[in-house]
Amino acid sequence: MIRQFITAGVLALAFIAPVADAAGTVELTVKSLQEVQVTDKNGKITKKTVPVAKVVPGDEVIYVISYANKGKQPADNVVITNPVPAPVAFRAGTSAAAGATDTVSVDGGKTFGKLEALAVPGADGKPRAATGADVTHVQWKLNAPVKAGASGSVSYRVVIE
Amino acid sequence: MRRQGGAPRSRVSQPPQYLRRNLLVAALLSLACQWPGYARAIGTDAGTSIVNTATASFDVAGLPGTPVSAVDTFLVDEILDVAVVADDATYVNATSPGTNAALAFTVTNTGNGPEPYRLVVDGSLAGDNFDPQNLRIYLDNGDGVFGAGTDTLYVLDGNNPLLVADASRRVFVVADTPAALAAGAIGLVQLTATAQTGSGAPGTVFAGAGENGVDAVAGSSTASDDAQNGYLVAQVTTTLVKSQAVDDHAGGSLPASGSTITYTLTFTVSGVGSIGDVLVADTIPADTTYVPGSMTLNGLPLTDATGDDEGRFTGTRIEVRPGGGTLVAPTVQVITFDTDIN
Repeated sequence: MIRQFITAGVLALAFIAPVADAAGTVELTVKSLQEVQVTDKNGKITKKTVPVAKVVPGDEVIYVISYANKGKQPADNVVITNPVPAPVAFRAGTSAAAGATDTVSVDGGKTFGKLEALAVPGADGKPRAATGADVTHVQWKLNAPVKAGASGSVSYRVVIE
Repeated sequence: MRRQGGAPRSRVSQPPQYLRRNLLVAALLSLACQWPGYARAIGTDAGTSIVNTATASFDVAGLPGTPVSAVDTFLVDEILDVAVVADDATYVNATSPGTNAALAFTVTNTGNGPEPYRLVVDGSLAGDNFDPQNLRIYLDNGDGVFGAGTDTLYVLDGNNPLLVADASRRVFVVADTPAALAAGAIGLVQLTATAQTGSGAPGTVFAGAGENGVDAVAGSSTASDDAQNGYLVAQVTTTLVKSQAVDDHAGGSLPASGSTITYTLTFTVSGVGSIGDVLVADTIPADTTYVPGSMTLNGLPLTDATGDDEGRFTGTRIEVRPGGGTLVAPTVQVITFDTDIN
């Protein structure tokens, strides 16, 4: 059903501007994970990443955004953007993106940059250095095209407020 | 669904900034996990749905493809926590025998969802002189003051007080005192509040028992907390002694027109216990005039105005409420003021 809508949209757009017949080319999935401690029968404790089962304020959640090229041609200039959900706070330094350039926004997605270089209005009205809690969007620009059949993922961590 | 009026997003501790991309794998492995992360007492409401939508744009063969998006959603579980504090600054006076002495406590829901709390009072504690009798718990009607006729008698699991996240309720422990106790005898009580859903070591899960069917999890308080206070068999006696000294401003003490009389009121509280609503008042004698600003309490000046300190002059008499009206025995309070003979 959704794909039909997308196809219809692409056809409609085709009359206005040239658009690639890209339906079904890139597929995206979002997974919410968390780390849990697992104790084996010898009493050894290891950390394991599992789908979110139990989260309360203060807990950490790992968002993993996976992409896959299901088409027959490479996907170029892939940009993944993820607005940080309202009741969670971005953990600075946790954006993981092998083969991608990651930036964040602290102004609702208008501008992006490295967190260290961004500032927000402070309580006194003067700009202060932005922190993870100020982040509104996380963005990854893949450094190379995604070949047909290829896939990968990016991730970041948040804390439930 | 979002917590209304919540704190700004500034409460997250920051991991080191050195975790850059070339250290990604190491970063993922080494980042300290916050498990178990139940330390936070308040936060996003239980049952809140957290929806995350990511989008991707891309080009194919030099032309823009239709952006795609994906969503994942989870619900915030309920953390069960509670805090109990005793509100009276000291032991509360009781008589021997006595009835219906009230101790005030406040129960606060420090979790993130609405929760009824079971209340239990224990009067058989060690380390005191007597066990308070006929223990009852009353739920305050909102005025903060105990009244057997105005507050609601609590019945375990009959009317467990329901508190939304961060809300508090004043409750009173009310007891009788046995006869023949010596002055100074202390009887301790302990009030315990426990989440009705359950309690246990932090992290204990009550599957599906939370708001909107989420799991409920015992928080750092173990979903149970208690506080103690006690009754003190009081025996307080008070005396008020008035003396005067005359200064005729000529080196003598002749009570003549123009002479100043300094009155000294000595209020002595002895025994054990405390007294409240203390008001020491003295009417200015006929044919004399109060000397403005001459009032003192324990050597410190008091103003004549109402409301700015413990004393005032009403136009006909001085009024002093030492200690704001509450005094703990033993204590001596000395008040002076001057009048001029007309």
